[in-house]
Amino acid sequence: MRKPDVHASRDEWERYLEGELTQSRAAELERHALTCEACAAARDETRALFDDLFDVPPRLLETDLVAGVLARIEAPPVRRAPRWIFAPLVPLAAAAAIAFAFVIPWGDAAEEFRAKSTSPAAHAADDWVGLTAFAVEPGRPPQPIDGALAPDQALAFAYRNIGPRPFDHLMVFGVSEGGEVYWYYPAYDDASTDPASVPVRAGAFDLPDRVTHALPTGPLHVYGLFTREPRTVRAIEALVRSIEPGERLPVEGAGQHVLHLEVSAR
Amino acid sequence: MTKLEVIPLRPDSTERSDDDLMRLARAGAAGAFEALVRRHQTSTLRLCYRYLGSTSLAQDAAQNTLVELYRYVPRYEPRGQFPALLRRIALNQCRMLVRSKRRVDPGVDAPSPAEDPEAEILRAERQRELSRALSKLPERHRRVIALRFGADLTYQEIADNIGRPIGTVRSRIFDGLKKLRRTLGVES
Ligand SMILES: [Zn+2]
Repeated sequence: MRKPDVHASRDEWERYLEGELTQSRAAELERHALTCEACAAARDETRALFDDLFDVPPRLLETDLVAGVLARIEAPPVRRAPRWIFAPLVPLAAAAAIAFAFVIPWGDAAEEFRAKSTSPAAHAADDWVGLTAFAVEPGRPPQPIDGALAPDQALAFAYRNIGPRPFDHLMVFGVSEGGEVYWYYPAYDDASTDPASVPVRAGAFDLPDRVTHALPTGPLHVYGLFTREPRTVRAIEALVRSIEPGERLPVEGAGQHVLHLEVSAR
Repeated sequence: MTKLEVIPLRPDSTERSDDDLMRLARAGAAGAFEALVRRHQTSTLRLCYRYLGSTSLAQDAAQNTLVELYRYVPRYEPRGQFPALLRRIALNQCRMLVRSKRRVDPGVDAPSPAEDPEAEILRAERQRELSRALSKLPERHRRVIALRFGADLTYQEIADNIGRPIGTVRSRIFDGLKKLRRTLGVES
């Protein structure tokens, strides 16, 4: 049994306001707050927080969305230039340096994958594709990322697509531990659209944009998904929900390379 | 023989259920979808605001939500689930808006003109701090807090909406509140 003079925690006041306490405990708290200033203050502050949580600016409620919505459903949306994509990243000489930088580490990684894989034939396509992420800072050459990055790190990517039957399409996206998807390719900034994979060529190339997201801290799995047919953002997001972050995506015939990175505050 | 459904061309939006209006919109009745937008814009704005913490972002997200809703018209199954569907779309749009922005700065709202400007400034300041704290919550907490306080749902309704048991909803709400309190610097 609780003593009637026990103080209430904030947690308990929250439960009180949410009607989640038993009647007897709620009555006990009310009685106690009559004579305990600290608890009465805690209750009032909790109530003020709840009021703020329910509060909205009056201006918001005056918004009339009808005209804007009808205009958009009558005219199909024009694809806007993504806000988070910048002009081509590096001149050709630097691009060549990127290609050089990412070709080197591959051979061993492919061998290692083959050795670990339980069914080597199933994912053989993975050996022929690759993705490298680069940190881009103003005034410095792009640096390959080998594990850690900051939440607001500008990233650029290079890919390798050198199989006997090269792939035609690519998507690049990060998946956080919470299952959130952060798109790098295709550009995806307008939620009313459902963009498809970008076309890729055979060989090793750098991708043209540098992209910044507000990434959550923690593990970030960056997928390079190479396919023969274009896929759409929504279809892939549905597949991402069916796996644990970082696992291989169940996409038949695709080549995949996943970079397992760690996002941490600068 | 095919039985034809009789659909009046000018639906009376105040009388009809959401399901009816969606059905009418599917059949091409003029004004049916518009009536749905009018009916649900305020609740959608509220929910988006509580998730995003900024008037302008909430307006964007709410507009995206109602445009996205239109895509559901051709395949909508009238089973009385309309509000739940709309809220799901809204929260997804909020989530997408958050991650498609390089930065979401909830501190951009200017206080609106009011009778008591000082109180209004204080209130805007509190909202700013609250939004900043909310934006630091994990998505699973942010979602239930938005449904609880932005849509004023019961725990059972939230459970139905996110497809989780009511116990999970309860713990996410109180965990979320605790995290909020910590970020706001409230002692316990
Ligand atoms: Zn006390």
